[in-house]
Amino acid sequence: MLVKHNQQSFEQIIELLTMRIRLTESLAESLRNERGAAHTNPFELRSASRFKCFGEGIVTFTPESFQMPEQESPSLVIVRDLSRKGIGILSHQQWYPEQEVQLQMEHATVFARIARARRLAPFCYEVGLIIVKYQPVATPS
Amino acid sequence: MFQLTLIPISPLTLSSLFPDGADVYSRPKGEQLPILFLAANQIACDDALSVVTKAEDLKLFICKEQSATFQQHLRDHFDVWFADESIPIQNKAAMLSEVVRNALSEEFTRNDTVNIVTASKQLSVQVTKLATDKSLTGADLCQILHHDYGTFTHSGNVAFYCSLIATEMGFLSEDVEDIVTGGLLHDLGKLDIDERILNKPGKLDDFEFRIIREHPLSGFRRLSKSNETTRVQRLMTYQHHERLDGKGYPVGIGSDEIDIASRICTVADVFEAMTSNRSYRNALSYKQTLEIMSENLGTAFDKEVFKCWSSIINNRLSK
Repeated sequence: MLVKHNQQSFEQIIELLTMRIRLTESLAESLRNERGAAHTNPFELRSASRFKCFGEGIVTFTPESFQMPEQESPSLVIVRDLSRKGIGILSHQQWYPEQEVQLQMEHATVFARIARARRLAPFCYEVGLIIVKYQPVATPS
Repeated sequence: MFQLTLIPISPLTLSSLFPDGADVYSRPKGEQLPILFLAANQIACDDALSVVTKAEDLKLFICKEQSATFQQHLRDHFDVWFADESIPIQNKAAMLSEVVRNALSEEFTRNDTVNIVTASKQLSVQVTKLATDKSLTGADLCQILHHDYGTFTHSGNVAFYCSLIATEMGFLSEDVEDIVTGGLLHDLGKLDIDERILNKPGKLDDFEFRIIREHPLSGFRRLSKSNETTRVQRLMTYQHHERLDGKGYPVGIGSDEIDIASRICTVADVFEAMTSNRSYRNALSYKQTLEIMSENLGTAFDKEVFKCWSSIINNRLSK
């Protein structure tokens, strides 16, 4: 019941927000096809493997976080990869290191800290989040 | 054999009001050994000051052991000097440059972000006062500042340059102060980089280059934890390696997203880096530097900011 209720409200909020990310054709293509463990390179200092996924999420600032005046919150994002310690998202706007956010997904809420952001194209930023707290939606016992 | 380790000081720091607190040496052209120019307890007489004023290539030094005393002396007397209208603005700039360099060196060595921010804010007040005095030209400043390579020397110089650009562009004095503080803090993230990489004499490999490119990010992280820093200061730290064409780092944002204070910092930063001696190359001349930078207008550098800086510096070249 609770899961169903949460899914309904998540979907309702998603419908209220506009997806403003502008994906390039090649990025859209790779998002459709990317699955499984993400490629890595020798320079990466990751402690946990990332797994590709595709889903929507809503990012809001936590009350403790600093915020830049031009930033919108809540903001609709694409969840692109997950690991035990972090989450990769795509966003239409820039996020800044150390900002504290809440990422609402269909089956979980994640409290996270922004690690870094990189601009891929206009209105398309790749953002890395460090998971501070992972809270799955409660399932009925 | 007894050997002194000498540190260069600006000749303009000599004053007829107080003794310098340290033995001052000069090294005549072609001589290996330094000679005592002024003893620690002596007040510079008019003759000595006249030698300093006339000799364009006179280089003065203090010994390393007396550096702390000399710096303390400058700090103790700085307010009196600054208020004294009979002292030329160039001399005040020289003293302030020494004070800024030393204060940053001390705080950067302690590596405490809170103290670095506090010191930077205090220093920015005096630097801004100096910049708003129209009798100080870019020419004077370039001549007065040290051009060796050290993160604190570089940061101090960038802050001075930022103050002139922001003043020339018509920013209000409190905004200039904010930008000067940002200039002092812009390379804070380099404190997190191993000195062996920072001072490597040869070309950096890919891994080392990636580490270097982290410094805007780690500087921003440090500043975002301090409630005492402003948005402008944080952005200057974060964006000073961004380019208008989106090929910069750490984010690769385009021209519409780069703050004007960061654009000022970029021009000052690159100019300062190119005109300073590095372990792997000698300093370029101002003219060469401006020529190279002008080839990247609109792609790396903001046209208006560069034009402003170029006019400040060209006053020097035309003299």
